[in-house]
Amino acid sequence: MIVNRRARAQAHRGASRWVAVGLLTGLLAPPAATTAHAQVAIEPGGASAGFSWSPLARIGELPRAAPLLAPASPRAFTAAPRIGLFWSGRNPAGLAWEVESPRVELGASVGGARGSYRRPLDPGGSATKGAEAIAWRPIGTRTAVAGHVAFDEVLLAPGTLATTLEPYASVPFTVSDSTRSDHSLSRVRLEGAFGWRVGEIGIGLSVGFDAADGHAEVTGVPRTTRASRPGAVLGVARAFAGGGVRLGAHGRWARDAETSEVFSIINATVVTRLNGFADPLQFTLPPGQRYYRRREAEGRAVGLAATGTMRGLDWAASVEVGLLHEAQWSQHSPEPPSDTWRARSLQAGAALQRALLDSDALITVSAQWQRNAGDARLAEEDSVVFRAEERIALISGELRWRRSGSPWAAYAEGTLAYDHRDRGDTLEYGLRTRLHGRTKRLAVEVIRELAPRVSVAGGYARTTWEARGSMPNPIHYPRAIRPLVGGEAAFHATPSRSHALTFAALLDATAETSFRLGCRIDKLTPNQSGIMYDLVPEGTRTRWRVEVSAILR
Amino acid sequence: MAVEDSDVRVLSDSLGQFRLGEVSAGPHVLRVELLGYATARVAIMVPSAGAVRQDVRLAVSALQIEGLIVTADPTGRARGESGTATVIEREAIRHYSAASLAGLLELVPGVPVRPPGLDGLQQISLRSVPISSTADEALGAGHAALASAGTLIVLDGIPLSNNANLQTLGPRGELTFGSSAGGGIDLRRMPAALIDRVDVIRGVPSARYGDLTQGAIIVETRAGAIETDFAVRKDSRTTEASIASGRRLGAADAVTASFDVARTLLAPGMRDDHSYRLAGQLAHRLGRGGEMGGEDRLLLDTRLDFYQLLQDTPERPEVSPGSAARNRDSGLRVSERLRLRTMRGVTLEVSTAIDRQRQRSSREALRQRGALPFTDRLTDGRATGRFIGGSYRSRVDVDGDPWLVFTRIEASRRSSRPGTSLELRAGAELRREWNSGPGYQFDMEFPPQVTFTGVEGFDRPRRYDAVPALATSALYADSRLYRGIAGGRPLDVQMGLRFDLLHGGTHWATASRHTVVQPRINVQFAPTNRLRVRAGIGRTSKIPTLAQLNPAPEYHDIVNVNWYANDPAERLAVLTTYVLDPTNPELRQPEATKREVGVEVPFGSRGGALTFVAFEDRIRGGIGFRRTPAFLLRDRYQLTDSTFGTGMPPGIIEPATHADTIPIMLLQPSNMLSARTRGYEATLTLPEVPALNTRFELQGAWLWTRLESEGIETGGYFRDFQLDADRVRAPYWDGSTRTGERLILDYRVIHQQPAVGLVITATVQHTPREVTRNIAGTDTLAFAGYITRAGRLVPVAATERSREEYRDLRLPRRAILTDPARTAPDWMLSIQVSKTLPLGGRLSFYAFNALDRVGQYGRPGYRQRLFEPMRFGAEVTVRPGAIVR
Repeated sequence: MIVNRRARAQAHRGASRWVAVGLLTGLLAPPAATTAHAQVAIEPGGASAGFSWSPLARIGELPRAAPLLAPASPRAFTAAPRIGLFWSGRNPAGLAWEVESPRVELGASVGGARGSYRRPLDPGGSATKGAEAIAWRPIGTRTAVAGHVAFDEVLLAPGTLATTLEPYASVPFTVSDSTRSDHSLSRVRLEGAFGWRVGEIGIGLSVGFDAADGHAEVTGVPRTTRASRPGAVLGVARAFAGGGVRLGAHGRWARDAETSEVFSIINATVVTRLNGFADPLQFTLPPGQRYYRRREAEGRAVGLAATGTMRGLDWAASVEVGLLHEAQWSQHSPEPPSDTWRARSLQAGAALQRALLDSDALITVSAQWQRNAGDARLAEEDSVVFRAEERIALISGELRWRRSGSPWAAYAEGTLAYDHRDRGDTLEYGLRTRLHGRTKRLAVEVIRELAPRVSVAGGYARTTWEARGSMPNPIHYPRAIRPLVGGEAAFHATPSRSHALTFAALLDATAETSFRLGCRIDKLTPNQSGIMYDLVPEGTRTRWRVEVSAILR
Repeated sequence: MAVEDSDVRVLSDSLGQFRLGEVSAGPHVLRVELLGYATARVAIMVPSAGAVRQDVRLAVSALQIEGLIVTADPTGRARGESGTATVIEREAIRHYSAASLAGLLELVPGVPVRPPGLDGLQQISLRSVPISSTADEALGAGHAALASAGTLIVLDGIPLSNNANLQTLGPRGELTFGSSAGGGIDLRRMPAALIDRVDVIRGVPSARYGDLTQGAIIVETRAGAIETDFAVRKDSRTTEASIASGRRLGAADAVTASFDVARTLLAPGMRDDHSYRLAGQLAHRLGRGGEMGGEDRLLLDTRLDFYQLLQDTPERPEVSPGSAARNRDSGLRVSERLRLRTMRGVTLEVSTAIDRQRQRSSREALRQRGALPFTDRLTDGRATGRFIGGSYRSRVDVDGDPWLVFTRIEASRRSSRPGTSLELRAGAELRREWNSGPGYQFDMEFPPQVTFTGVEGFDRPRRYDAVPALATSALYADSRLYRGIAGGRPLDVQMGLRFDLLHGGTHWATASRHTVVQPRINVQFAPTNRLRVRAGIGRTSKIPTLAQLNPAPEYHDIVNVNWYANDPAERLAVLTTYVLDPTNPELRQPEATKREVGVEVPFGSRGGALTFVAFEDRIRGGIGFRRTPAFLLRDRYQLTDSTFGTGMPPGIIEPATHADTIPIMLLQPSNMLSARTRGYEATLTLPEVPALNTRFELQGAWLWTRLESEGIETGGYFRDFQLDADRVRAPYWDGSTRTGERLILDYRVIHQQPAVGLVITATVQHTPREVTRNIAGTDTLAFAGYITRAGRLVPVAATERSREEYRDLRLPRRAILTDPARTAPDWMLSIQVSKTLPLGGRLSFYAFNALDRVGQYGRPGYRQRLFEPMRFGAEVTVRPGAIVR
């Protein structure tokens, strides 16, 4: 077994000189929060892409991501993909077994997005500056640590109508106002994990903290948004069969607190509080008034995971059940009347990885399935006003190949994702959408060594989105929410595709230090052959990102 | 190598070996410094006989040192002091990521945490809790100012002072702006990034320190040969950059330069209000004459400190037209410290400094008022005035230039023999403070007040350079004895005597106006290695401020004739101006008595300790504004012609037909306040759990403050009485008593991973109890007497108050609530993370109110407690030297 592990590690190192790895962002975990603000602020990319051990992963939440699923960064020269209790099962107790060598990656990035093909509550455009670091290392033979920190400064210009950071979350309660002023957002994400083992027993703790603070730029209707999200995972693990198989159990806790305020200092604004598909609470905030909305959510989950190696094949599997309780309110009082959302989630994932062709290739296949079901209640209603049942299933495969002695290498990835959303209100209109979306993605990158220490990579990725199912014609939504909810439904019902071009370069300054450059530009367009609704936006949406990083081994 | 809190120090040999002698038995902290490495502080326990061997491992980054202390050291002692103190070392300062000194002081037990940044005024009141702020009519600046003014701040051995700060519009001012006048200095001026060490003496300070009632905060800035580091800090509101660099010039000389610039947006997205700070220091240290005991015989330490602090609230024409405020404080201080060690073990130290500040405050506001008779007369007498009124933009500028000249000469001698060491110290201080600013200026046609009762006049401009200077001097002597008794157990006695003289004139040659004799003693004894007991008692005093010694004249404009015709040409206003001087020649220095007992239980070589202190601080003669009744005469005149349409104003017929009296209250600074604060402070630091690299700390302070006033209160009835000539008397009440109680607990978990240079601190500040209360009689028989229209106080015995003749006085006392006001208990979490970066760098992250807890809205029986919103940010420090290497 030890021999196998060493061989695998060597295979990884050999591959990483050329192709390094990275992949499957969020495929073994719930998808990252890729919605309006988050989409530009913390979209996975850079050093942290490819790892899903975050203790900050949402519990009981499946945000409705825009169909722009290609990773934001080229994968060439990124860190090797890892599977195991910790890396894919989120159990920090596995860390002490699964980190053999240290690695530090420090990066900085700039990026942006622009274009009219977007949902009603997405920002008109964005510009992002960020810095990120990820590191892990063993400490002695029984302990290992891992950490990740990311800072982002985002300017949403034009901004978004949504006053909340994630307007397309599972929860149906969302607030918007009628101004789309530019918005600045600072965001930080810290995560750390500590794993310790004695003999066959391991314990681990990972904690994380995600915070955002934003405010409108100069405007007559200032808006502030603030969010804090701590999370923690406590895990235990036990090795069997001489360490060839490890089983782990973990408990996870995460809390969300978000405060948004709208101040109509000079101009009036129309505040719309969406309650799913029902008539929203909509009112004009006259000059000199303030609107306040507070959201607090707490999620708990428990999970089991297993990992092992069998005949040179690494495998990992995990399952997790979770509960989420969220409340939103607008009154400054000790016990304000609150709108609530309760969701239950079940998720399972599995991954396989194997070195092939005398370690010239590394193949990784993973699958994930998650189901969420939630009920929403309004403060003034006794009964459930909205129900949602959402499922995703993803299967992804990645191949990294480099022939010994050849200056050429390649990376290929294919993903197939099914997204089922059944959302509907239980009030008088009874509006309901059942959308079955399908995403197909294929990405290819070709790497060439130009000089003994310099390599470059170019790539292309194509993603298609199509949906079927039933939904009301968006023009039949209540008038007050037609542009917001109907627009979103029409957007999701419209087939679309994205094309991406990537470029990356790697300079190995020393045996331990490398510098990496990554660039990507992609473009999302609606598929003209699909069904077009009246409210579907026109145009395209373009996104780009440039990142540089230093890799210290 | 040095033993903290002593003069014991030595240089290691070429192999890094060292030997320290004459160290008293008991717990100590060994400090090891080496250029290019982080300073190490190691707790050691010195036995009463024999030697102790200690290996010290240095690391490039302090974060890689095991057992690093990144919080305040509760068992440490301020240098040369034996009273209860909290020591905040450089590593704690770096880890805490505070923006200013005020942020660092949150590590002291009982100090509430605040969001980091330059938001608003930042003052510190040691060992004090808030009291009710209602019914403040007799307190002047209030108890918070009293306590913060009584907290001495010493920067690099020389005190800072706020005594000559006159940046206030006075008790009649209707416009306000943020000002530290009357209280302690604004701590925003001192960037935490430039501070090397803070000693917070909460107990009885040595006789060396004066001008205090609460305690002393000794701040040492970074100086000497220090490696260049550059730090940038950013959060959603504050951006800060600092650089510090020190270079050795020759064998014994060093020059240091440090700068800091910071900016805080006070309401981003909402308003353009911001605070800005530029601060820095140039330091030169010159050593000559060879080394004695690890230090040069002659040491000259020259410092040039400067700062500028701006708080700007620009006009927002679309929201608040005409309203704007701006404060710009700047200062320059040059100080020189000379230390000469003679062969006989005598050390002579001369410290001198000149500190000049420039304070510019302005406030603009749109004012609106009805037509009022007005005079701009500056002297006593009657004048024909005019009518002013309508809407106008008022602007007031308050420009002060406070100066402080300070000199201290001190001689000390240390002698030792086996089992005993004695340190004697004696010194003298001279200080002179004045303000040379243009003062309180405004266009008298557009005064910043609109309330005019026909008695209290409009304010008048006042030049500050006409205010006499304040001269004080002091003599002090103290001794510190270490002796082994009862089998070599260490006894430490520090006792001293200090005389603070407040001179009657503006120079030190003038006679003493008031002298305070201040004996002080601290005793500590360690009966075992695991126990140290301490006690201290002493008297201190506070120098009155320039504003208290020289209050602004009170202008009373009595309206004799108020003839307001429709035709402006026919109007007539005749006013008599009285200029009253509220100066109190009897004003003296407030005195405080501090008492405390404490116990410390160190847990041994693995670190950790339990400390407990019980204390009582009493202030007598605290300065407030005493309401002294008096009266003014108002002449009444007949008019020559009171018909309208003449196009001419009427004339007055001399002499006056009659006169009446108008009672007034003169606001006179007076030693009328007594404050008593007692409480308990405790810290518990548990030894590190090695398997988890985690340490737990708990600290707390439970304090009660009681403030009593000897003055009178008028219950809100005086204004009506003053203006109603038919009322012959009005009740008054004895001054009320206000109390405050607060328990603050800090729970702190510190996790360190030296192998990866990581330290994480999570602090929960919990306030389980906070109560304020006014103690006063409020029933209709609670009045103490009455005020006549001639301004005479007539007391009425309690037994007679129910008589029929006092029926008109039996009124409920207004403007005071006697029910206890409890603030809802709650807690808040803050976190700090520090991590080494490659090439000597460092990344720090902080989050204030990390969970973004709102707090508690008022619920039955409680007042609301609302927390400041979450604020998070990061700081990156790089060492250019390490990159070059």
